Amino acid sequence: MTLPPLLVGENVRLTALSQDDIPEITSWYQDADFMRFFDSAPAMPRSEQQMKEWLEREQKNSHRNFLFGIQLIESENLIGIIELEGVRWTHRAGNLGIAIGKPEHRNKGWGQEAIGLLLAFAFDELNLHRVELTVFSYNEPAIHLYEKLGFTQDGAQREHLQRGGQRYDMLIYSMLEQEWRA
Amino acid sequence: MTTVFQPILEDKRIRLTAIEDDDMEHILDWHKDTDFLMRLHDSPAQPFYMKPLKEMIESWRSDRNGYPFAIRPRDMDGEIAGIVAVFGINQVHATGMLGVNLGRKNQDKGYGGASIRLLLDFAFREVNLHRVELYVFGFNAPAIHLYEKLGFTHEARFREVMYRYGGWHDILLMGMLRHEWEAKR
Repeated sequence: MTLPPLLVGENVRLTALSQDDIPEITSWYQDADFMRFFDSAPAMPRSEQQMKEWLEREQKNSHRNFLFGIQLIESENLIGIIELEGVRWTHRAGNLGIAIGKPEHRNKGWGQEAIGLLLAFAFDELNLHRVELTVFSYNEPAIHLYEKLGFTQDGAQREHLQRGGQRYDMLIYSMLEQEWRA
Repeated sequence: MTTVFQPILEDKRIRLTAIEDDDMEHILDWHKDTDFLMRLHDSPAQPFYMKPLKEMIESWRSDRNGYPFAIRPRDMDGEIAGIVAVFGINQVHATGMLGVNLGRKNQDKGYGGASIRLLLDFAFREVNLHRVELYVFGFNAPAIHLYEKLGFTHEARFREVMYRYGGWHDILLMGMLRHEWEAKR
């Protein structure tokens, strides 16, 4: 029998990241908007050296974190990163994180496709029971996408972060194995 | 001389103090109790040995983003009854997490509620946090009841996030904001 293909979709595939990808990824981290969608840490541009060290840590292959590059199949260009991190094996749960680097690569369905591939990896390859993600309440396109993909909102950390003098919630979304299969 | 501020970290019944090396034997006793461990952590409930326990407590004491306290009831002659902490502090957004544990023989005596009140005063008025959150397992009804009574808000239910006792269980997220605590006090 043949198993269905993993990590490869119609337009994008999930790949390993290499040190050659560092200049491209570093360029995303010069954009404050990118950083404020992705992280609650202060939006501080990162150097290539910092990103190299980050990738070296990620590549230690801890079996708790699974980091992929999102690559366009046709051009082989790297457009983003996606990861399943903090896997709690005892309880078969993990956290999804995704970032599309450049504004012109968003709203094209590529992020949606990449999440689909990662969920297949999580439920069919790692045999997880639950995939969870957090999103800041001001990131409306992302929230719309997660709901379209069938994630359920578990709740919110109210007033979790402060940006531009205003406090915002961090929303928690999840998908369970049986919901993924349905 | 009159003091400028109200005393903190103590009330009529308990004091919150540093955790001392002499407390370790008591703390180890609780950490050999699997019922205690199963309410506290989602990692497998394996009884602790002294060395890793000491290392864990030492890491709490030296954590720059957390404040762990020994709970010392006045009617226990200085013996440690439990530990209460605000930890995981994010200074940028002024948020932190609350954790509390009591040895089984020290439960149901009101020490937990009293020590959380003192800790919240410390977190909101001394560390000046804006938000304190906590996680509690869905099967830990007495703890959930206590947090509700203290005024925490149910914020999220992580559905089927842990597997224990042969079934899936939820973990609840509860939170308190500074203005809510000030209104309660």
